[in-house]
Amino acid sequence: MPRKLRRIDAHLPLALVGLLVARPSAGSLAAGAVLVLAGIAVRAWAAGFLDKGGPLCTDGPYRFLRHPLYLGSLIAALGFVVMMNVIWGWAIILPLFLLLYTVQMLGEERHLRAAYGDAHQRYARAVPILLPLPGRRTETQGRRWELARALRNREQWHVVVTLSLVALFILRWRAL
Amino acid sequence: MSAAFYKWAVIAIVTAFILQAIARYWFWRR
Repeated sequence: MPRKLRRIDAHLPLALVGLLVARPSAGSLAAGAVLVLAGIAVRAWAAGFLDKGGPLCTDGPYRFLRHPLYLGSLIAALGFVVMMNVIWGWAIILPLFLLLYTVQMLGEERHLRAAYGDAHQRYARAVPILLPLPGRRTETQGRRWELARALRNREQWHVVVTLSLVALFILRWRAL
Repeated sequence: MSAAFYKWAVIAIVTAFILQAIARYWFWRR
């Protein structure tokens, strides 16, 4: 598989087209923005605990689910679909996100199992992959949320890009 | 925006996402 194929990022074309076809209203923008901010918050919470390549992280949101960064992204994506205020946006965008993030999560699971072995297997049995469930949690390792860690994970760029897109949706609304 | 624009925009986006999913699959399978 050519290396370049790995660098494909379909989010940008989706954002551009989504912006063009969007018919946002004040209400859809407000409701969507709440979801987008919630998604950003979930991601930031997770990014402050995760050490990529370090020991298996089961702290913060990782106590309750295995892929909180992707849950945050999916919540933010839902927020943008709400902002678009185009009914068929749901039918097209949700299946695409679920497809992409499922492939990504299953790939990472495979990698994590190879890297962490039994520890990951126990963790995966204790905690759901994406949606937290009552009673399903694991012990904390006592790590604390650290901004420096979130910055090492380059989370600030996700925040900047996501908020910029929100700003563009507001401009789109003004231009209608 | 015309119906043709919508049609091609949707085809482009769906194709891009499927390509990215395939790329991700290959990335993790390596």
